[in-house]
Amino acid sequence: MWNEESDWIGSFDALLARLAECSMCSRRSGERPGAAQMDVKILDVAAEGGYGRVFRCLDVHTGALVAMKQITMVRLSQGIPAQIIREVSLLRELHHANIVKLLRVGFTENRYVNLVFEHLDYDLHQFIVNRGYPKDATTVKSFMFQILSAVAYCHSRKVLHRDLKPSNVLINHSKRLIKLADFGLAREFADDFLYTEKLGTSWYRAPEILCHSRQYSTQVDLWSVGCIFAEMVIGQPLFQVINCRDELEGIFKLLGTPTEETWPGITKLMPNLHIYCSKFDPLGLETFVTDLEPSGLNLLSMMLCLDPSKRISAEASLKHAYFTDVNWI
Amino acid sequence: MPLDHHLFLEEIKMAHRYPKPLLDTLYCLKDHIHWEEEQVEDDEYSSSTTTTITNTNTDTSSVVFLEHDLFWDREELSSLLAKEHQNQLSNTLQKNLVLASSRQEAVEWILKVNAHYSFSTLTAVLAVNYLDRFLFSFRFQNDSNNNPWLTQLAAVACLSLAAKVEETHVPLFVDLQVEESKYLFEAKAVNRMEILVLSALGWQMNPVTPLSFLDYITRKLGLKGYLCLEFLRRCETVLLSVFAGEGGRMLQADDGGCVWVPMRRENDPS
Repeated sequence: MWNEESDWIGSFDALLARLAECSMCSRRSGERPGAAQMDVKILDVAAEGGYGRVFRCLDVHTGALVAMKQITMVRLSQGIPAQIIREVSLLRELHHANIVKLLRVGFTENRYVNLVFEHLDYDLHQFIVNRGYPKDATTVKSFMFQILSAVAYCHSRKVLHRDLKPSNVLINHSKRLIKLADFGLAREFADDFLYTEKLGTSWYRAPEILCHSRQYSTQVDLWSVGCIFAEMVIGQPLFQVINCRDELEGIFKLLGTPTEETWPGITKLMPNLHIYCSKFDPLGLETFVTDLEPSGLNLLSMMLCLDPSKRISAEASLKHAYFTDVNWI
Repeated sequence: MPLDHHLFLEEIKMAHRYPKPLLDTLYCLKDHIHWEEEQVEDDEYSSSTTTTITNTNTDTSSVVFLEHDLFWDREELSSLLAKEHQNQLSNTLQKNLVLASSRQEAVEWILKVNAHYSFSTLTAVLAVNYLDRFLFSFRFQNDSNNNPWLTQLAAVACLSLAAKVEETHVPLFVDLQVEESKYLFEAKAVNRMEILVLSALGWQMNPVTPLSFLDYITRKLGLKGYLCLEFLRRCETVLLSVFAGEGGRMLQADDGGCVWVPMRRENDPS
């Protein structure tokens, strides 16, 4: 018994040592870093969250700034968190100028998963809060075009993001370049989605999720993009401005309570819908989103459309009149 | 276990838990209870009608295709084919009967646990895909020959990883090992094996599978509603049978196309 167990552990660790130098860590011939090394020098802690930490680092080979996301595996009984597996496996396949690049993945001491990303200067949330929201229409339009390009690409690859919000939109300052990040909630959709838990930050959550629909699809991302669009124009979260007890109430206050005519199937989805009836006539987007040109307001209204089947797609958005004067890409 | 007995059990399990084809939407009681709790807590909602199980069950039987999702891309089929890799384990198994035997046991175990938890067909397909790719990465290692426990441990890790990628609820490692096996691994060992598998596979956990092609084919055929569900259910049953069949046949992704032809003939209104 003792010998058998010892044999397991011995050969097991030998396999681990060999495989820790996986294809992602050993791309350069002749250079095979150890398991515990990610080839980075840590500069400082950029962020902390429930998942772990993000460090600002220098890549020891290129000298470039990189960001290392370190996730602690706290539960041995459950192994690698599903969110990490999804994020890495999807990012390994998504190659787009507006999606953050995952450079390396490795493990440290069987306790941490380390994801090394290209570094960007700040996120859109920080941009809005600290630097004043993008006051010029050109920047808003450029950011929107890049966000939609990335979302359209994801959807064409059958990937939903499901957690789009300003803090997951990264910005390269000098180039005014946008990159989507944090695909931890993302998954490849095969037309079989189940509502799992409350996804994403509440102010950016689509109404069909808030109605506890057990099915949703690409349109949830377009709703989130619409919320981001409005926030860039008015400088704060759209549904924070509308002070309500819950998010659905805020949405219905703004856009009007849906009916079977405006959203077929809504009474089955929300049997208690009558509670909201006759309470809200739409305040209208134009009440809150001022200073946006008419074509922009039109695009926004098609993104913040209650009925998911009528909501505009990312691909169609890119062809909208709002972007016809885009010649700077 | 005799083959027909195994298939019979499979059929019983699938019959009692109503069919869960790829496109099915499974009603989660937990969500329903939560929703009811919310209503009870708020006095203003006290007069509301409560959703009945019957209505919900009726609702779950319908699948809503959004128009965008029905759009099929001409590039999609060629991108699926380009992404597909040959299953490289076949040749190795022909020369290594010990490994072939332990792989067969591992696949059977995966299918039993998959059925036990009513995981989707895609979860089973992914788990077997991971296992085959992992075993291939070790094809020259002596350890594979000497340690049949390694294949079973890999099977546990691969099923766990597949469930994490595809399912909404994943059992703990101990709970995952519900079906009889020669070995029962502790969480620490499975955890480390998960790390091994992820590293060996380069974290590529969304491979092209036969179901990728079925998804494409159903949209190409324009199947909707009940016909779509029935078509996919039958295809999935055939795929699982191929896995469980004699010799544990290596499944190529484009076998989805081979399954399609007899299924289509059967589905044609005569």
